Amino acid sequence: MRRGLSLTVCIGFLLTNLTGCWDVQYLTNKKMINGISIDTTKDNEIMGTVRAVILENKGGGQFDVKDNVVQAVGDSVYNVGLKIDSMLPGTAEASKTHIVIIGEELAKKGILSPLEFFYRDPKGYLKSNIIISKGTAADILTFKKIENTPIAFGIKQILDGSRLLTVVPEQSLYSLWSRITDPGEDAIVPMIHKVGDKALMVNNIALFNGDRYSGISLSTEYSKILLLLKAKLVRHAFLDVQTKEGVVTFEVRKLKRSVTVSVDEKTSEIACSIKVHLYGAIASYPDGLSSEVDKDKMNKEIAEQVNKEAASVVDLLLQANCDALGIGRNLRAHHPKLWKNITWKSEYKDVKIRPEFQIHVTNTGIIS
Amino acid sequence: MNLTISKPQFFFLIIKTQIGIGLLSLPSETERIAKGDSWISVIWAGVMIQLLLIVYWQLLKKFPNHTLSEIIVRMLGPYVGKAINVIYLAFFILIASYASMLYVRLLNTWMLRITPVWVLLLLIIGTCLYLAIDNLRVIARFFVLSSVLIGVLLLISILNFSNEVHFTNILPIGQAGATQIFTGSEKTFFAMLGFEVTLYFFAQVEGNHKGMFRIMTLANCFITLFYAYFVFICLIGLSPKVLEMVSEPVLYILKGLSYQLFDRIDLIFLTIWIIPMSVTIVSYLCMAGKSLSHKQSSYRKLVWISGGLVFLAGWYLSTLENVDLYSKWLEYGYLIMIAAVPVLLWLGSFLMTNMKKVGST
Repeated sequence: MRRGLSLTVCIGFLLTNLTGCWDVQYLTNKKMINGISIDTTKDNEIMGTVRAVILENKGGGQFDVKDNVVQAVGDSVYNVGLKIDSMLPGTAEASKTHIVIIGEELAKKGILSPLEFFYRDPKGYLKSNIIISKGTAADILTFKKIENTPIAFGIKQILDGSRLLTVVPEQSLYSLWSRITDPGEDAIVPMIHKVGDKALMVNNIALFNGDRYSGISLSTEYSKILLLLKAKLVRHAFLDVQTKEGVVTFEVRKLKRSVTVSVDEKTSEIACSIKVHLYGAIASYPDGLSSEVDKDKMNKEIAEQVNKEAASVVDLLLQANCDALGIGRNLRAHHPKLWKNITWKSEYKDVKIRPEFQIHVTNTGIIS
Repeated sequence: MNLTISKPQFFFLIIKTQIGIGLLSLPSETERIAKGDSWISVIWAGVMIQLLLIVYWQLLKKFPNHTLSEIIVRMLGPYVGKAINVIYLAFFILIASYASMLYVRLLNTWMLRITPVWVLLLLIIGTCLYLAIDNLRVIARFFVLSSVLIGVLLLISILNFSNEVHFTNILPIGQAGATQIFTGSEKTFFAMLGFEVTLYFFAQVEGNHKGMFRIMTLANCFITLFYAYFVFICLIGLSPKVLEMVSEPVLYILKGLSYQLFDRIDLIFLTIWIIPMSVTIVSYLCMAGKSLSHKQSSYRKLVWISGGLVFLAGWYLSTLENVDLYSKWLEYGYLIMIAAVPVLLWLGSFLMTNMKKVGST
């Protein structure tokens, strides 16, 4: 009994006193970084820019959130990080970084090696959103404040907004690595750009070929089509369609998709047909007030337009050599013999992709 | 010393000893060999263990009131028997120290990066010793209590399905070929070690004449499915290349999860996982104690000494730069001890003439 007691006291003493001794980290000594941008310079060095959060105590448990910008140039991301750390008061911590922006030029050279540090570091926050910027990423991150909130939070909110409208895909550091290294699928990443000096917009998609940005991006309309082809409808998507009578905005609410990948036995030509059924409502039809909407006619007109756009999206995908639709994965699973004998990257551009949309207007709002 | 345990407690003793640090890195180790068929490797390893369990069952049926060490002494005489039991003791100590070394390394990379090795070892082995010096009933109760955590771990792992998963990653089934699958199952086998506790704890199970084989099979099925499930979620959650690169994929897949309220699920998971990892060491310390002594007082002393040795050996191992060679020797040596020796004993038991008397003691 006495021995048990003394042992308990001893272990309790050790537990309470030793655990924090070496690895104790006080929040007050940390400098939280909430946004990072990485660019390449002319001399092939890495330029990193970070936004560090400053919490100002206003008293009464209220905090004022501000942030400041620090920039450094170095040989690797880690090296830049060390330099930035020595410029900031406290230890720089990237464990709560919301966004990582990669400059266009750097992305064209390959995206994995600058990001390697985030994957290796046990503290790395893999849920960070990754964005490619048009132009240099530092320009985006040094943008003036958005509505008084620190810029990184602002960008995250813009990104989330676009994501909910099915304009850009969700892509975090975690998912990106798997997508890039996947032999049967290529990554697509949201793109951000400045609109004049007034605003930031996230509404394009960068097409990746392996771990490099192919240089080809999809504009808003095309991005939506691609995401719908991938069956990645988040809440809803709005498609603007030019009909003979005028502009119609179609709100997609439900989606059904079937993909068939077939291989011609003689020519071993690979064909992929994607059939997508879109169900939804007419959100706006400015010239449609005079008469009732003819749903069948509307279905056809929207489908025709969307199919035309889908054909251009597919062309761009082939041009970028970006297998965003995951056709390779399908081949690997269902035609393993063929998959073993081909180099998918060189074969992909000869694939026949036939997208086909069918539109079902089920609702016209509260006017018919 | 002779306190009995119930059959459910016996079940939990087995599974908790088997679930340990090996699982965390298992998916990437098998992926390197068996690719998308890793999960078949795991099931195959389960089948191999089941075959071994049949031998154990046949052997233990003949000596229902004896632990392995007593059986050895009985069959091989006091001198040879004692010598073999000393080897067993050494292996249990080495396995425990190897496990605690891996454990400390894991903590050093994932959580406590600056904390010195000896502190972590002291805390782990100290806690384990505190439990291991008690009688088996107390240990079993703790094992049952802490197995609630397995449920928590399973719940956490289900969250992984909110990440993007691709079931096609495991297709086509059988892509790696039989040889690769078998080689992969060898790795799995070593990660699933721990079923040998049967040989030592069987004697203390209440009413161990009936239904014991069912308990053993059930435990093995549970573990095999548990392991296969974790390998499976890693296979569908990560691309093959990433799975090969990451050293602890089970933790890594949880790193990709984030919620408003919770973050870094991997660290929460690891904190809970510490308990199954520690109780593995408790089991080995307990077996070390049982391998040479039969009375509670000498058992305690032996466990204390083994604990000290585990600490020293663990510390020494953690200073080594490369333990691959060591681990290989250890694994194959241990395989002889838990597979070859029981099989030989079982075959030998047919030669014994005084078989019938043994059961009645």
